Amino acid sequence: MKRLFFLSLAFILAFMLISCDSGNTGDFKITLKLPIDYESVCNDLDDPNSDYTYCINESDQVMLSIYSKSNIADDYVYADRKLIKVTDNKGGKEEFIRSLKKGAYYRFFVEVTNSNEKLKLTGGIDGVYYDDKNNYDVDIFLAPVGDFARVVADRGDAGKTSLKSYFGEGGSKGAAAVALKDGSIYMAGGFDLEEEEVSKKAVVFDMQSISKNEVKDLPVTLYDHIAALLDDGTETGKIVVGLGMTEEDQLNASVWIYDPKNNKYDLFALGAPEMTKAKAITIDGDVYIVGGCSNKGEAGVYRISAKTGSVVSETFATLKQGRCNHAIADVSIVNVDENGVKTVTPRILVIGGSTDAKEGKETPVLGENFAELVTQGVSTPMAVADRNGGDDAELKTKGLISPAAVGVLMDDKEETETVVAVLGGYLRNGEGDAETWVSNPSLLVFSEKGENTLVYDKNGTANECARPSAALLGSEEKNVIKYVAVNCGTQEIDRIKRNATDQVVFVLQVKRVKDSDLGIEVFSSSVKDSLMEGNNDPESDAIILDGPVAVDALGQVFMLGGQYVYQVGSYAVP
Amino acid sequence: MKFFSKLLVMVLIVSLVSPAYSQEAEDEQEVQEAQEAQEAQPAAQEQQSGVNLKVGDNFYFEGNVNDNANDDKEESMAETQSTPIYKQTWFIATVAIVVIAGAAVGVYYGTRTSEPNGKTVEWDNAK
Repeated sequence: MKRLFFLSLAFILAFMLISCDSGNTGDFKITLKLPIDYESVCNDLDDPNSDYTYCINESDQVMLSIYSKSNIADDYVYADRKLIKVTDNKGGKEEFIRSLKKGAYYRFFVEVTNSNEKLKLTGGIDGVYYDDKNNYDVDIFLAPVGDFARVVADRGDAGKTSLKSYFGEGGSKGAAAVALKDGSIYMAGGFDLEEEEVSKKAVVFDMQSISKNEVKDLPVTLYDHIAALLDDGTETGKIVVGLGMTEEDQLNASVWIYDPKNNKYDLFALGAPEMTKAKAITIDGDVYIVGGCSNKGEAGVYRISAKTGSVVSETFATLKQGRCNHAIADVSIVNVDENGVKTVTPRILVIGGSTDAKEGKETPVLGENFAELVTQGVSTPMAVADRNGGDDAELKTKGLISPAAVGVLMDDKEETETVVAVLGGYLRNGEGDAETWVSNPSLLVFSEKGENTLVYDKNGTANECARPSAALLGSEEKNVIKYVAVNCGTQEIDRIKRNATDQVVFVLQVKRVKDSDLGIEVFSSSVKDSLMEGNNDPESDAIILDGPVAVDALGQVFMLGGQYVYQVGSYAVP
Repeated sequence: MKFFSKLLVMVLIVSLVSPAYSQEAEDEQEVQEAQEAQEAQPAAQEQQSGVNLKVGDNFYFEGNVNDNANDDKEESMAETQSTPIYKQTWFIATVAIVVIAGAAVGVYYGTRTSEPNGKTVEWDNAK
């Protein structure tokens, strides 16, 4: 009888332990992940000549900033921060907050500064829903600020834990990628240069666990297609994906709305013709699709919105000059009234491109239609000139095909100004039989000067990129320098398999400077030095020919299209 | 959580060792009492073997005293007083297995989530 009693007691205790207390008490562990220590200097911290950017060592400081919001549709609000002084070269562990609010969404951003207070590593995660009934164990990968690093879950075992795409070492062309609202990265399609076939694969990179989730394939094989985030008020948002080529020389007219939560594609009736090399951009949660090429340059500008609950589209404007292979930049006007209500007036600057998509035989857009400014219902050609009123870069006579353009808000002065950094692409030299193509040797910054007029400032660069992708890196507010992350690829114009050393990734600095000759303030752009020798990955033979970039809400830029995923550390949360 | 796990292990040990010892002692005591009862029974039977008859009463045996007919009756009565289910070996074994399995699962889950504690940020320079 006693035996039965004690056994029953033990059984009850065990049952209670399982059913009533399985250990989920709202614990939240953040593990900081570091970039590959190529030179292995983090184990030898006494060498004064070494660069310790990739280490968190004694005398460094770790700042963890916490932002939160109660509703997914709201903007994040600063909640708290924790400054940790590093006292051990091996590692550290510290409590960063006593409690988190149940049912709130959190954003965490980490900054590591050295003893000279120089910011060297940053990283963050977004959209973490907190419930005190669960335990959380999340990763934050720290990338060098204004520089790039391969994303790894464990740098001690980089071979196995590097974040990999579905492409091999041969790389790809024409893939598309976009960051979801929760900070994960969606990537789909592309032409696999190793397999020599168009891919229909799609993946979502979960940056909270530094892992890859293979998601449902695209409905068809696609490359040179569009992918852009559509904000429908959900935690992740949805993705507009489509157009492009299903096979070489096979155009696609279909557009789908991908729902990451339910992992499904819904066909969307956009009503656009079959076309490739269109450009898509997200402005205030809506997706704008600009141009593209069928058997001619298409001029339609479509807006897709999900603000009303259902996904709808409309023709936003019509370009004066139909085109593909062009670049677009967000130059919208944002106003915030005294009640904090934000209104966005969408404006898109369209630059260069061609009127057909025949690779190597394109017809560039020239003359007065070289650049257009698209607003609701109208697209206006912009007069383009250098500071002297000429065309030093010969844009209107040689054109500019496949450049990258990024809108940069210069807020260092009381009156803010949005300029557009333009880089890469290729231009036509000569005509007819003497026609040759050369990669663009200039870094350009366009700024509006009066009505319907653009002026540009030009700087030279050794890093020429035939088909780059670029995105604005999170930069400090009011800082005179802003940064653009560039997935350059190669300067070679033909899109064939290359060597890894041809691939370059870099960060562009855009700043306001005084021109002593002209006696006025102009804008300059230059390539920032990288810790990566030759601006490529020293431990990878994988290449990126013309891979996409994706920027998340924390201002972190991800470089994709090759075997690995690279992250550029932002200077600050935008 | 570790405290609960240790407590559980202690309870298990106590339940499997101490009660078993007590049961054995109890069993031994019962056996001893049974033996004593058996030993005492012949004496009682001997004492009760004499029958006080009043004058004029008749005394006789029913049936054949050699056919042991009543022995079967005694056996069938013994069967109706069999060991309770909770003292059956198979029952105890089943309960023990369930308890041990439950405890193992409890210990596993109890210790598995013992880290992290609180809201922590950590890093390892080697990783």
